[in-house]
Amino acid sequence: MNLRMGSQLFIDVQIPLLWGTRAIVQDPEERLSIINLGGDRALLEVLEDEPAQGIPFAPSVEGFVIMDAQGTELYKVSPVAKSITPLSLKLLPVTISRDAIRVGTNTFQSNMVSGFGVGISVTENGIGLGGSVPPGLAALRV
Amino acid sequence: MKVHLNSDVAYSQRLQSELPRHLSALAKACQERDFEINLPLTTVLEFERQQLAIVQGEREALTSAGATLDKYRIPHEDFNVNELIRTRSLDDLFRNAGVKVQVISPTIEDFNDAHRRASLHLSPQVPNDKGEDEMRDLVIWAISLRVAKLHGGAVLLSRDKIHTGELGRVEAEAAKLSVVPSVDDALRLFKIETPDAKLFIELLTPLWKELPAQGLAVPAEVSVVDVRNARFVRGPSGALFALATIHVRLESGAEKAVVVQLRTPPEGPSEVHVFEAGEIASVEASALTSAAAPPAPDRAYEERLERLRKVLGE
Repeated sequence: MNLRMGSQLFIDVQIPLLWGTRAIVQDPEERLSIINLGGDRALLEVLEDEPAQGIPFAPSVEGFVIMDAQGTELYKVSPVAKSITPLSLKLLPVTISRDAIRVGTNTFQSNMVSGFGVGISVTENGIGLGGSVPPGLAALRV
Repeated sequence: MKVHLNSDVAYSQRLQSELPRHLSALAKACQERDFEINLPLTTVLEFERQQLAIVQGEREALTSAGATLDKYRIPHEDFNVNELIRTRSLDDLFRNAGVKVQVISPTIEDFNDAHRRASLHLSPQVPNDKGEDEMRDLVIWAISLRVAKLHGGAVLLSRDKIHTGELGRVEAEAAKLSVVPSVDDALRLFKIETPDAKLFIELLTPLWKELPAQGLAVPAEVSVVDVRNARFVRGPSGALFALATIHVRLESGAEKAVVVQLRTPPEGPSEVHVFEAGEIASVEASALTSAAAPPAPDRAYEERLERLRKVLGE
């Protein structure tokens, strides 16, 4: 896919921003969608700044919290700030603004990532720019 | 009431010229109740450090933009990046929101207390093999406990595992220090309607009169005292499934906790089911659709899905 997001240019990448097992995508209108690739099939959790159908959530002051089927709070989405904050997930928070993608205290600005499986990857162990798709993830299809 | 903030609750990846939305809600709630925001100096300094790192990046970007204009001899007004892009302190942002704020500097006793806990790996620090001695967190803990004891109670907003873990619970309870992980939880503690509670009550209100038939002897008017663990699942065409543990005031005046499950299909009447607290009523997406009549296609949702597919290059 080819996509401009948070001032980065992703060309011919499969997943522009991989946050743990979740693909984060921002469309040209700056709406966030989040797809969990950790299961057998891709599971759409957030669609255009709103919880997707069939996904447990709770509204919060800043936006909403996405939960698992047992009610465990996974992460919080702030559609105004364009930020995703982990709650029970052990990942760094991500904010996608017009001029940058911020992951924790790290800022990605005006990079071009071309021909990689993953553009920016955020794992429990660290972050990386340009890499292969980790094994075991479902294909990014909704 | 003194409301303390750990730095993780105030953490921001943006340059803040005013309070972010969640802290603004907290400030408003505290102002309405004449509560005071207590900012440990550690939190103020950590916020400043984060903001300085962001402001540095912004200044460099503006300087670079000016240099590019100069390079191509494009005229522009002189500007001073340090004056144009400034940081604001966290206490200043709260003060501007109209709430009472106090920055609490650690005392030598707080430092000694934190130092002792860090060195001896005492509660509330979690034993670890990484040699982590979180002095900053322990200083905030010491300040919060001291203030809570002094004023007969306080609130600490923190997601930090040191503050929220089991080890510090007894000590916090003894000092009447309530530790909550988010602004939403703080608002709940203040007995303020939170967004999730408000939505749940809004859905429950039209079905309230059905509760007595389900064995819940509630008065005619809605008497929800508290809403906990609310979760919602959206279905096609505006269907909504909701589940929460609620505390209701009964006709007898007593209070009771029950689990309430709500289902509002796109067409037809909404349903309410009451379970004893502790009974498991799972959120099943399948419960959203009627087995008898398949839901009508949700065109608006399909259109949004189609837009996403286009972005994904499908």
